[in-house]
This record gives sequence, structure tokens and C-alpha cells, in this order.
Amino acid sequence: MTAFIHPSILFAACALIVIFLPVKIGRWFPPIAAALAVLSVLTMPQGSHATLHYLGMTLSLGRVDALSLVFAHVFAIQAVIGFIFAFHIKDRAQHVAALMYIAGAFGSVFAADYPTLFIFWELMSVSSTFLIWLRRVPASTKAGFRYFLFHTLGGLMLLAGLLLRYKATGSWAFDAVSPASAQFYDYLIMIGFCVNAAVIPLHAWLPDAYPEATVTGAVFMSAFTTKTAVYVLLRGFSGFEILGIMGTLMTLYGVVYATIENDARRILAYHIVSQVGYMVAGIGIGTAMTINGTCAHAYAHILYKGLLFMSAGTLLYAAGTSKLTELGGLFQRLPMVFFWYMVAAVSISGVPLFSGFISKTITIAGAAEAHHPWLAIGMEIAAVGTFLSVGIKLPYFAFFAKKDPGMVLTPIPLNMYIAMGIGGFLCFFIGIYPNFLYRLLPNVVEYVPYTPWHVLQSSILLGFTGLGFYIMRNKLKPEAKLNLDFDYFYRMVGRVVLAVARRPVEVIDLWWSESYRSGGLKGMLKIASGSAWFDKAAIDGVVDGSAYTVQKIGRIAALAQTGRLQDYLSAALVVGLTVFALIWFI
Amino acid sequence: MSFFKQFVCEPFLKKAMYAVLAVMVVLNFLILPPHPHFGAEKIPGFWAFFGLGVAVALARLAKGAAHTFLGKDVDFYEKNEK
Repeated sequence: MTAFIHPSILFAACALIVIFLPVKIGRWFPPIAAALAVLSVLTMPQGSHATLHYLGMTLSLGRVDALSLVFAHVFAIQAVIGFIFAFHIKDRAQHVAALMYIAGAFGSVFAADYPTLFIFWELMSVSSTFLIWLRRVPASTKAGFRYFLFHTLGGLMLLAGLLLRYKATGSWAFDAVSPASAQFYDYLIMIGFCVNAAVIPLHAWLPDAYPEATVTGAVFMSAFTTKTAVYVLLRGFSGFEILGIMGTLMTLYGVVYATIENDARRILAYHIVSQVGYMVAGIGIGTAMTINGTCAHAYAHILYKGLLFMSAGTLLYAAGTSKLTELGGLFQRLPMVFFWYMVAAVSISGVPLFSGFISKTITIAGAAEAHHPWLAIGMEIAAVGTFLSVGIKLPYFAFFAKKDPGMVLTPIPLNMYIAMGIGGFLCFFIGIYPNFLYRLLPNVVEYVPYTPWHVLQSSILLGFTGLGFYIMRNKLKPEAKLNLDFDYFYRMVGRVVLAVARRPVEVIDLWWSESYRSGGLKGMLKIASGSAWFDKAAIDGVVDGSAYTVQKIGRIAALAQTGRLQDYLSAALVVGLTVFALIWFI
Repeated sequence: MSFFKQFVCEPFLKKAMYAVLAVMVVLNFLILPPHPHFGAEKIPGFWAFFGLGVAVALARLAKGAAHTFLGKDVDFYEKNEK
């Protein structure tokens, strides 16, 4: 008999410990909490747990089934890897932000009702913003604000949707929506989810913010935000055809930008858009096979994308830049970083023996078998683009291409290598032993990845992509440029607000200040001199008058003080007789 | 003949790579998809053509877009803030 221990509690409790302990001791706790979370996920029984009655609502914090378990499984493993990678960090706030962020992710995965989901959803949004801000450079401060505002917008869509839904149906339950009966509020909720899933054109926050996050923060963020969104879309909106189309467009959109980007972490960020595209497409197609494909790809993706962000982050940590134009020729000095990067790169590209091969192909085959050949073709094009940009372009220009620029490299802590080693091992292990992953999937798997045809097809496709790169290598040289994306529009919104503040508001303010200075100030001076006159004539008159009166009375009273006893006796007699007469006659 | 001469002069690794690509295409004549997803897949060498074509087209298209309307100076947004 095993009990359900909510992993969010482990992470939140750990955050409390880290706050109060010296960071030298406290930093040991996050990897331990993550390891306990792995244990908790492995032992938790399926069913509905942790039901609360609160404010007239029944909240269910622990829906454990096959679907939530796949995501929880890989979340817990990646949390261990991420916290080992971040072990050297002396900034307590970064550990706390990461812990609360992961607590939010687990809470969202196990939530069975919308209010619970919303609370954990927002917890993720707030704490991940800190993972960006805590890099403590001006660019990350700005990017953090844009990130937070955009996620708040998404959160408000979700909130509006769930409130309208409650009003219409009287239920808070978070269950699957049928595409045929979806209402306006369901679409609002879906758009809220799509913001976090980086569905184009709502994706721009991702390549805008992730490259500005801390080295370790980006590793966490690459795993949890978009994949939590994939999970909730899978739970609520599978079979919505629009998601199939948008997902395929995402796969293509991401690789086009990755082909022209210069910053290594931005290239990887665009590849999140692209890879999450496969998952969103699988959700949209909605067959048992593509749903398996989505889950498998999310699992594999979290591990290889984490490894990609770890190795690119290590480059940034060591060399002080992640721009390909400033890097190059670092293979001799950072061979192990290159090695682990390549393990992740071949995994994401779908090279046989690595994890992407056994996951990505399920969705593509599923799309074709569900009679969506165009979606399958789109995803194959994206697979070529993935290998072209992440598999060859990025490592070629970062580690080879030119002579070592001779920059001083910051020594890389051992814990970073250990984390990359674990991630790399898992990418390979899942690739050679796919059943480790397949037996976690929610539906029965009828897909066999290692057939002669699948292996040959992938090898030919990737081999000739390599040839394509070789032919185009001079054309693909990275350039120190900024590429416009949809963030242009939301930066515009900010600029419009600023313009409104500048034009009408500032103009009115200036006019008011000026008229006050010329008219108002003079009026005030007049009023002031008037009140000064009144003070002198009236107030002073009254006060001075009473003072003079007191003085006069005092003088008269002094006259009565003669010092002779007979005067005092006669005066006392007069007073006494007067009192007696008054009593007698009245 | 000149093509052959040129090929002989190339470094070993490069020759090996070309050889691997050639062997894979030859294998494609022997191994064909048991359940092709679309008709063209049955043609040996289709995926070779697809991979090469898409890689070249993607590089040209994306770089073309970057050089015409997408690419801006690195301080594009900062400049506009002032």
C-alpha cells in the first residue's frame, strides 16, 4: 500500500528550507527533493487523490492516471538533472524560483479542476519570470517584463474561459472537450493554453525570453512551461483539427528562424517552438497513435532539449557569449561540452539509436496513417530543418568553422558535466531501449521504430541534409542581426501605451502645470497676501486686545494691593455685607 | 575523367561520406517502404532528393527572408525606444 505524496509539496517544502538555511547547505536539498519526487511518482497509485472542499468548491489536486504519469515521470527526472546542473549556484533566489516553478508544473499536471489548475498555472508564470530576472542584466529585466505581461494575458484568457464555463455548465471539472460541442469559453481556455504552448502567432515570448534567462533557469524553463501546456491541451483538446494545422506550421516556423538566428540559445528556443509543434500536431490529429506520439515526443524532448540548453548554457557560462559570430573553434578546449551537445543534437534530429528517432517518427507515421499526408510532409521538412540548424549549423559554427578566438574560458564546475552526462545517457538509453518509454504511454503501442525501412529512411534523409549543409555552408554563415518576429507587435502595444502617455496625457499635464504656474500661482499669492492682512488686522487685533485688557485689569488689581490691613478688612467687610444682603433679600 | 581525378584528390573523410550516401541510395533500391505514406515514397532515392532539396531550399528561403525583411540591426528595438 503506497500513499500519494504530491510532488509539489516536496518542492515547496524544499523552497522553505532553502530560504532559511545558508546557501552552502541549502543547495544540497533541491536535488534531494527532486529525487524524492521521482520516488513519489514511481510509487503513487492511480486514482483521484487529495480532494479538498474549499469555498463551496470541490478541488481535486491529485488526478493520477496514465496520461499525467508520463509527464510527471519525465518532469521528476528532469528536475533531478536540472538541480544537479544548478548545484554550483550561490544565489538562493534562483533555487527558490526554480523549486516553486517546478511545484507549479507538478500541480498543473495533477490538477483535475480548473481553479486548481489556474493557481498552479500562475505560480509557474510568476516563478519562471524570476528565472529570467535573476540573470540581473538590463536585457533580462526587460525581457522578463514582456514575458510576464504576455503570460498574464494568457492567464487571463484561461481565467475568463473557466469562469464563463462555470457559469454555463456549473462545473469546475477539467475534462476533455469534444470538438463538435466546443463553446466560446472552451476556445478561450484553449487560447490560454496555446500561449504557454507557444503556438504561433502567440509564441514570440519564448524566443524573446529564454535566451535572456539565467544559464540554469533556461534549462528548467525549456522543460516545464511548454510541456505542461502540451499536457493540458492533450487532456482537454485532443482532436481539434486546428491544432493539427497550427502544430505543423509551428514545426516549420521554428526551423526557418533557427536557420537564420545567431544566438545559440535563441536557435534552441526556436526549436522548442518547432518540436512542440510535433506534439500540438499530434494532439490535433487526435488518434491513439498520434497521442502516443505526442506523449513519447514530450518525454524525449524534455530530456534532449534540457541537454541542449545545458550544453549551450555551459558555452555561455564558459565563454561569456552564446552568439555564434563570437564563438567558433572551441572544440579543442571544450571537447566534452561538444560531445554532450552532439548527443542531444542527434537525438532532436531523429538519428537512429537516439531518443528523437523513436518518438518523432510515431507522430509523423500517425499523421500519414490518419490520412493527413500534408501534415506528415510538413513535419518531414521540419525534420530536415532541425538537423540542418541544430544538428550541424550550431555545432559547426560554435566548435569549428574558424580558429579558436582565444577568449579566456571560465572553468566549468563538475556538477554541470555530471548533469549533462545523465541527460546524455538517458537520450541514448531511450533510443536503444524504446520500451522503457513505450510502456509508459497511455495507449497500446503498435509502432515498431527499428525496421530496416525506418532506419534507412531516416539515415538517407539526414545524410542528404548534411550534404545540403555542405553545399550551402557559406550561405548559412551566422550574422549578427536581429530577426523580426511577432514580439514586434506586442512591443508595439507597449509603444502605443507610451505614445498615449506622451501625447494626450503628457500634453494635458504640461498645459495644466503651465496654467497653474501663470494663473494659479498668482492667485495663490494674492490669497496669501489677503490672509496675511486679515491675520494682522483681525486675528492679531483680537489676540493683542485681550492681552492689553488683561494687562489693564492687572494694573487696577495692583492698585488695590495697598499693603495696609485696615484697607483689606474694610474691603472684606464690604464683600461680606454684600453677600449677606444678597442672601437676605433674594 | 576529371571528375574522377578531383574525387581522388579529396580528403579521405569526405570520400567516405560520399560513399556512405551512395551506399544508402543503393540500399534504397533494395529496401522499399512496406506501407508507403504517399506514392512518391516508393521511388528509390526519393528521400535523398527530399533531404537535399529541402536543405538547400530552406537555407535559400530563410536567408533570403533574413536579408530582405526580417533582419534588422541588433539594437533595432533599443534605437526605437529613445
